[in-house]
Amino acid sequence: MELLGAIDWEALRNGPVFPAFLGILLVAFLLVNFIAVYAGVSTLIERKVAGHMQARVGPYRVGPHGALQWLADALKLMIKEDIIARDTDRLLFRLAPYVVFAGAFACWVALPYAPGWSPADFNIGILYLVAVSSAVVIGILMAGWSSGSKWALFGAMRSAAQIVSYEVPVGLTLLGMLLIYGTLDMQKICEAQRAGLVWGLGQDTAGGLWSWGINRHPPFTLIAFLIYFIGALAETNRTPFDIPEAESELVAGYHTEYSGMRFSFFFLAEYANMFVVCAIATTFFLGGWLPPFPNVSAAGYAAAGLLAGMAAGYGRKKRGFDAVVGAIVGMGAGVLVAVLVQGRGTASTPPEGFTAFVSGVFWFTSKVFFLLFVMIWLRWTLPRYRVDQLMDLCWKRLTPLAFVNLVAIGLLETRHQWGPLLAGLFRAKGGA
Amino acid sequence: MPASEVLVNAVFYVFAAAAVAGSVAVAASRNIVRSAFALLAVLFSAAAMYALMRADFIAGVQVLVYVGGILVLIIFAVMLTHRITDVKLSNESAPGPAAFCACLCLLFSLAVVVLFAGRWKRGPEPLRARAAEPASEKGGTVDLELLQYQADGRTGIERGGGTFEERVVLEVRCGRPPEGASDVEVEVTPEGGKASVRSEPLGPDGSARVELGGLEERPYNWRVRLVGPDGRARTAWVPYAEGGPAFRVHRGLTRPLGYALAGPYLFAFEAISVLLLAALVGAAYLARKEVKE
Repeated sequence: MELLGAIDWEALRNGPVFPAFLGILLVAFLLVNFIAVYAGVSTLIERKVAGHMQARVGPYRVGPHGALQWLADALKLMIKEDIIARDTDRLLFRLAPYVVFAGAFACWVALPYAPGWSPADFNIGILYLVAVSSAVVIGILMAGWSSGSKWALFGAMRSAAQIVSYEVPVGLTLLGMLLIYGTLDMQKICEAQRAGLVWGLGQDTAGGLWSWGINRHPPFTLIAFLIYFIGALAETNRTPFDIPEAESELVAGYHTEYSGMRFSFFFLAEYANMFVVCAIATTFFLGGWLPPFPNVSAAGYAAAGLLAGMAAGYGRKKRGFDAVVGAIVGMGAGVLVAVLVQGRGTASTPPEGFTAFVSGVFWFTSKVFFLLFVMIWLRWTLPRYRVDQLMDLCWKRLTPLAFVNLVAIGLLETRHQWGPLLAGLFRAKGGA
Repeated sequence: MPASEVLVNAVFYVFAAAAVAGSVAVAASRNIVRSAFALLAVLFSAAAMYALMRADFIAGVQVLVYVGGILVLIIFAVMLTHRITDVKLSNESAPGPAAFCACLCLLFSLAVVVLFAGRWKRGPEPLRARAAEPASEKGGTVDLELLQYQADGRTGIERGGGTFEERVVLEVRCGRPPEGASDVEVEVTPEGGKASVRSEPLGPDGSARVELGGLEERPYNWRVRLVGPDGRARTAWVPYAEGGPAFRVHRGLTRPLGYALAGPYLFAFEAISVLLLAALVGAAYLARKEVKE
């Protein structure tokens, strides 16, 4: 980590106050700005994906292919008039967006972006994440109540009930995975997936996708992943669980009365929360910052890129020339991925230093963005649940399933102790 | 004062002020919904103070249970109560002199407890030991104080206690070092592993600190002796803990927590779950429909 190694954190911590304070501010500043840019870009992606799924083009006017639309949106939100209706509780109305955003933003400091690199290294990582995100619920209730509007109040009540309910199956699945890893620390959870049991059959030490959390005890870990992802959709109020902001019933849910910059805070918090839940799923089930194919060499990546590029080029216009161009571009991309992103290490000697950092950040964000894409994809595919169906799914289907899953994973994790236990039981019977 | 300490102090005062302000708002607000929201500040500040005392797990659970559970429940209850904001039921009567006196008495007893009864110490209890001097003809002894700290070098580890980091700081204090003793030799033995010896020069105040790094997940024991510049022993070995480990290194938090909850704290844990069950039965009773005969 030559880039970050330039800052001597130990010396900062023991040195004078001002630089240390500045260091903390710098990290917070970078994170907030990253969230803003990320949220902007993901709204653009959301609209583009929506457009293509519905055979439209999506935003197309600002910038090439509408690529700068998000900047225009941000500018519009910033200069829009800030309206506070007469019947609002002004203090709470103004406070609510900050509470929601703080709850979402505070989660970002505990995520494992690269090996050994989290803005704050927590011993209690996942507990902190689950706990701090509950501030969002309070903020939503605050916004809904203080708006003095029945749409907002209904939206807030629905949202809070939904988030609190779905925390139960989500917490139970995470508990099951914690039985496997034996630590709450997000970095150590990633590290624990470098080697491990594959499909309950044998050990894998290469650190590829076979030793990731999702492959530990199938089908239970896979079910845990699915329950977590469904719960994550509900906790972030995404379709098919977007009942709190159901446009056809509630105008816009708990942020109906908000406009301009205050509205954009809710917007930012929503997208920030989506990133956080996807990052937790990535860390717990998809190996965090670990590369999926540590054994594949640069030549392997180049070959894969060549084939993929050739297929894509030919598929585009069914011409040989396009296939050749695609192959060359694909091979170049494969080599780039291999050299820059895979790191210079192999399976037995994991990459170190700067390449490990780049590789970690690349794989972590790629997996998170893949899950984000799935979320967007589902939004434009599935219809919305009713309130009673939502609660039925949570309490009568997912929660019992999560309990069974937890017990099953616990039994499989203690499998080495079954033999002695049973033997002891039989011996006790025989003796008596 | 190093930056970390200044920042920790500043953060403490910010959260202490927030807790006090939040409590005042809870008690004084005329609007009961605002009172409920002001609890957020109080509960969060309490969690922050736990975190400042290095009780991370308690801090996390505090936020998870009180903010994520109890507070949401309170706000729901307040909002669902019919026309609750119209009724000014929050503190219409001004607090009388009796209430004021009662509060003063509580504050006074709290101050007495804090100032006189509590042992508010961050550092470890030093282990006092007497080491024989084999080198001296008179058969004298040397008084040693042995201490062990967490990785920050300030927070103590009690004997047999645990740490979650792979670094531990050991300290040896020697009031009057024997003649010719210049260094401290520390022998650290992991359970079922090989002992390793480190030596550190004695400072002008007769104390020395040894930082251990790269510790594995297992119990450790250690002992010390004083040596001269020629490497010859000036005192006999003094063990920190006999018969048990001096400290344990844990990798993850979950295993020691699980053992603690299923071991020494089992009764408290189960008693609390009975309490929660009672609350659940009460809620179910209140929520069911009245059946008219």
